[in-house]
Amino acid sequence: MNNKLHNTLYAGRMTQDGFTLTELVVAIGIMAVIILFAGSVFQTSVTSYRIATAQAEIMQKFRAITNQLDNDFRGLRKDAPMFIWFQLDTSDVNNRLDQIMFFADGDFQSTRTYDTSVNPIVPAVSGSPAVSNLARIYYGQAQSIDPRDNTIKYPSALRFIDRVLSRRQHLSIANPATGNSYAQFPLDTGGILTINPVQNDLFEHDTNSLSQWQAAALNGTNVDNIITGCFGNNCPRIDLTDANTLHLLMAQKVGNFSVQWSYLYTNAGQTYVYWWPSIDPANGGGTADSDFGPSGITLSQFGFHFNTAPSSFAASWFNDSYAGTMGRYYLTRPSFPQALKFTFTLYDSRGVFKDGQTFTHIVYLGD
Amino acid sequence: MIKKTPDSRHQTRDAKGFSLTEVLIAVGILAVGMMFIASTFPVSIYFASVATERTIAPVVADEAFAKCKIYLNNFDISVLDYTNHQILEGLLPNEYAYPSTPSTNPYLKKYWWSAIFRRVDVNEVQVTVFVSRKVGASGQYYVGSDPNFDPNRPDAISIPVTVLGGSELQFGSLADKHLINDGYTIVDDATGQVYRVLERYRLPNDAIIKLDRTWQGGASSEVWVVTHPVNGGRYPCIGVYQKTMRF
Repeated sequence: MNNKLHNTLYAGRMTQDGFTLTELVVAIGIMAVIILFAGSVFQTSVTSYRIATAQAEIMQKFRAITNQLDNDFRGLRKDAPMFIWFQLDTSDVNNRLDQIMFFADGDFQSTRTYDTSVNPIVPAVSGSPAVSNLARIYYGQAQSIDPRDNTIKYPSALRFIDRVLSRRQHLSIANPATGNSYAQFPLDTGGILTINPVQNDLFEHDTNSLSQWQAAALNGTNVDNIITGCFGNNCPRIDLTDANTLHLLMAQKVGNFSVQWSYLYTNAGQTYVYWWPSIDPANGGGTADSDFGPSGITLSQFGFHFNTAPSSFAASWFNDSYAGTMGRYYLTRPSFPQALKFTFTLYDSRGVFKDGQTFTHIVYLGD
Repeated sequence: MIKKTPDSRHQTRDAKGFSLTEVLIAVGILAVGMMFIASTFPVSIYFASVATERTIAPVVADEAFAKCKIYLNNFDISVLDYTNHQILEGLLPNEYAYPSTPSTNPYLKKYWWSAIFRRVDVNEVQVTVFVSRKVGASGQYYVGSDPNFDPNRPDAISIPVTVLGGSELQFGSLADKHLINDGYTIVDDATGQVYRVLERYRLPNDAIIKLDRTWQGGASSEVWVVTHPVNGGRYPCIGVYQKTMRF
């Protein structure tokens, strides 16, 4: 038995069917070099693929937001009020949670359907979309789900990457003369409007006409009610698991949303274009001249109301006639600014760009 | 017992193994092959960055045009010349960057623009925007003779040239010849026409450049160009965009 084994081994050795240790080591060594090389090549291509995909996703989101902004502002009604709410992000001075609301002409259609066979007419699963040539449009960051604990939070409590940009539209729809009528919104009691924040998110229609809004904007109580119903903590509430709130969604992973208006400022004989409010308006590099703080507005949250001058409204809101008294940070044009600058930081869904990418977009409103 | 004779071992090795020379040659061939494959990678990375830059360039140009519109709207355009461009220098330094919102973040402002304009009609202005990338925070750029120019950002400068006929231009001053090289984009000061430089000839004709098409302008002119950084480096300009605005 032993002899047989010996013979086999012996025969094998003699004809050299196996590899020596040296040969194996050399072969494995060469293979290791090749695999290392191939691995690094593979790694590079995977990284560049990931970057390219993330860049494409961000650019797609950028185009979606800017195209929508351009479309909406093209039909801006300057004879109607415009509201801008400024909110500093306390966690990072470079971030803001601004909100803007205005009226615009255009071809508007609701995202949800309205069933006109029931009374009052409200959004329903069946039916057809409402259409209108006038809408009240709002942009701002929404309350949304925090994936860390699956609860809905205010945008300021969310991480930058979990924040969501919302567009909330309300089509101006007059009630038909006969038959069923649209659920009255906002509530109008003897010319005094009340905006229910829940209905504001739920409905995509306004039963008020433009002239009713124009008249309402001249009344301090009404302006107060509009502001409290739409801004600050009554920003849109988006629950991605609830189909009834999805019409409010503009884009996910928008970490910062700020609105600034342009004004001209003359310094040492030269006129410059400035943007208000800004943390460093003169581009000096520091925040000593910030529009928020001692030389500007000391509130970290405040709003501006354009085009009309009601007798009184909420303490943290100003209108354009007040602006002239706030240092040099004023509107140089009557009422509406010449241009608005939107700044937003976009993140990709896989976290390739850890700090996101910041974009600016200027909407020219004209003279 | 296993018996091995030195002879039989020697013979087997000779017959079936590889010699050191063979292994070295094989590894050498492999190395050359790998080097060829490896050399394609910087190219693909380069093209990936070019693709990103070309995607962002129109966005930067859009922003530049919007700012030109605001600036020129508050500017007396009746003083503008029809056959001479003027450079837009009346904005705050950060306004030429993209994104332009002042920030305390130490991130690099990578994209910059520069705009020149001339009048083309009573109330129409042609605006040409150069979009550039800036590499490194401390890069310095040529400022020409204009004291208003900011050396910290890539800006368009004008260079006098004389026309040799056809598609060839000669530098007005020999000292300028290094400012325009192969692949640069230039804009005629008088007509606003955009040309691409195919090549700058070798010595002794290195003050002559060949364009991609026949020169349409006059016999002598100035051309606008965004040139390389002072200490050398890549051509910073990513794209040139043109638009006519009515006021």
